[in-house]
Amino acid sequence: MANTNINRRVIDSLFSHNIISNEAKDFALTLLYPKHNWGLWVSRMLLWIGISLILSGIIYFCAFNWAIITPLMKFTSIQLAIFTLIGLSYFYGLEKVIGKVFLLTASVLVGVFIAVFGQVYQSGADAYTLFLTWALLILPWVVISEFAASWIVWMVIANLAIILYSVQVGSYIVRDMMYSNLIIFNSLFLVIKEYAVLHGASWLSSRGIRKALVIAIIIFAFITAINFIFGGFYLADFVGAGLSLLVHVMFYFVYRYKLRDIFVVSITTISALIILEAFIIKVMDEFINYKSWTYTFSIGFMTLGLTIFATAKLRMLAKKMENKND
Amino acid sequence: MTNITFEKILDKLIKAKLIKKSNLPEIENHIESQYGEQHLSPLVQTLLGIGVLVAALCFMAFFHVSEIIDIKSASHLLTGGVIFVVLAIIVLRATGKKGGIIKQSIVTKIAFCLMALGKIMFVVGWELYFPSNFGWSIIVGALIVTISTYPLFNINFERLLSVAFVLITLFFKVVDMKAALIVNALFLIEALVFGCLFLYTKTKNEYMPITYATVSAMIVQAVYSSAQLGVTHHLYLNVILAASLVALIIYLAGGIKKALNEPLILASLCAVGLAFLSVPVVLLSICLMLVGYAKHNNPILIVGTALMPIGLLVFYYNLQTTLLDKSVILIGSGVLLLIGRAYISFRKLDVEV
Repeated sequence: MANTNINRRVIDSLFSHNIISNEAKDFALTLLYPKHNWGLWVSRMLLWIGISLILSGIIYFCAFNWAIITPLMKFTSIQLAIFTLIGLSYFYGLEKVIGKVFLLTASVLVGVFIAVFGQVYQSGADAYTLFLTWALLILPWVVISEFAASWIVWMVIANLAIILYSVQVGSYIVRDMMYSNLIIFNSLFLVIKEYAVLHGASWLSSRGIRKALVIAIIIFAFITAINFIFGGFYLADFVGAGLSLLVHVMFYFVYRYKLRDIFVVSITTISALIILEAFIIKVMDEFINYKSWTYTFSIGFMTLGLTIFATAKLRMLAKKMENKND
Repeated sequence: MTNITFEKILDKLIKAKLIKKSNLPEIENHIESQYGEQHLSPLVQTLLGIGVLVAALCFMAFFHVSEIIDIKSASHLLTGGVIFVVLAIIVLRATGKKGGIIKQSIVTKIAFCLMALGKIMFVVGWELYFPSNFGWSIIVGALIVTISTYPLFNINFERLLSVAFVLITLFFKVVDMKAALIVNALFLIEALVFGCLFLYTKTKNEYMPITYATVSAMIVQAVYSSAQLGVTHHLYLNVILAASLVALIIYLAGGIKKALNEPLILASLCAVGLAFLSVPVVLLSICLMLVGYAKHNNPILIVGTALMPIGLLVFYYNLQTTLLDKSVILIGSGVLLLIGRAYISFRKLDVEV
């Protein structure tokens, strides 16, 4: 027991199995995490919520009909805000969180500026150009900020640019390949992120970023697979299905054996099993009447069976993966 | 996290008389048996739980299509429901949570599926047997089956779903009746139950699903009330939540005497101010974040944090004023919060201890 890694999970496990009381659990957790840094925590909450409120207010301000305000005033106020935020960011320095937050806020205001620019000049440009320009303009700031939140915002903007381009301007093939393009783009970023973390970029090491990216990629891969199973057999569907298969296989093997993340393996496994079930249902549809008892029983039995299989498999994997980590 | 060893933690627990020396072998055995077993994340467990519920619904369809059970017959459903519920309890208790991972997975999932099937059939059968104009039969049926199975069927996720179903359907029925007083009373009771169970250090693990179920119900109520137009719809909930927030600040400070310092008085005044300026979702979000952080409970903390943008969105979307006024309110609120942050920084309260 001397070598036991003591953490919240061990304490929670003891409590959930009624080996220690709730009071003992709280006591142990307070010993493990003794610093109730209320001041620091409240300070950070106020910073994030305050900045979000101000940004939202500015966006509402831009949505308002500015008939009575001249374009010069509109542009001047936003540019002034951007320069002020850049100045504050420089003043506090990018080593501090507040400096990074100011730079992030300036990045968001760049998008507001572009939107107002489009509103004033009525250029008739498609919405995707706004997001594309926004993403390209703020990329240098995002890179130098070394701030995970900035990258998340940038990824959202870039993904929106891809979606809007596909929907608004893209040809039929581009539109059909939208999810495939999103898979490729986000997977590329995930690869770069993992590579950067392995080579010292600790600010990207937050598991939240990995989880967010993986969930997004798996959702896109899931959609392409389902489209292939229940849709037509167009080229885009084949490409999407192929990418989906590749994503599931790569995620499983990389995060099972190399990077060891049970969350990614779990999500990938569950997605794969649901796709498998969808495929079986599609095949069954060809041979069995969906109103028959055979059909309903088979689906129920298969769903339960796959859920049990997933639970057992994932729990065993989790145990193996943690053992190999020690 | 500190570098404190497990032996030291156990030592301190013994000195604080929270465990006995005789508990040590049991603790050691548990650690060894659990060693290397990672729990699956709540999201993954929820997805697996949904899979079981889908399977239960498919089996229900199977029974209907095969005419084994007539889903339009109350007696069939009630009988079938009771049989499946009893079977579920027997399966789980007979095999227990012992055995290897595979056996545990099979047993718990089958038992969960049987219980879900049984409860659905019982509740629907109850409604058919005792039809009522306002659907109260569904609530009564769900309440009966929840109370009777709660002590016997110890899968916490199932307990959580069951209790949450009763509370949420009760809320919507009361809203249907336009009984505002009862809606507010229901919320107050849920807040008290959650506060008592979650903050009381001696609460047993078996009652934790009730706390999460009350949180779920409060969230639904708060979001629904916040989305209603007009202040009166959520003023009472705001008052309840603001009072809860002040009580929470006092509790976390360690009593009224300790709470009588400048930052906490200011925080309490802000809580009172929010009762008049904000919506229930925002106040509930703040309460959950505080409680989650204080009790080292990540799910509650994450839910509280996720509720904040939803609350702000609902609030400002429903505000009966122009976009310009909304933007001024938003920016003004943001500036106030940043002033608060500057105050904390000025008083050096944000230095890590």
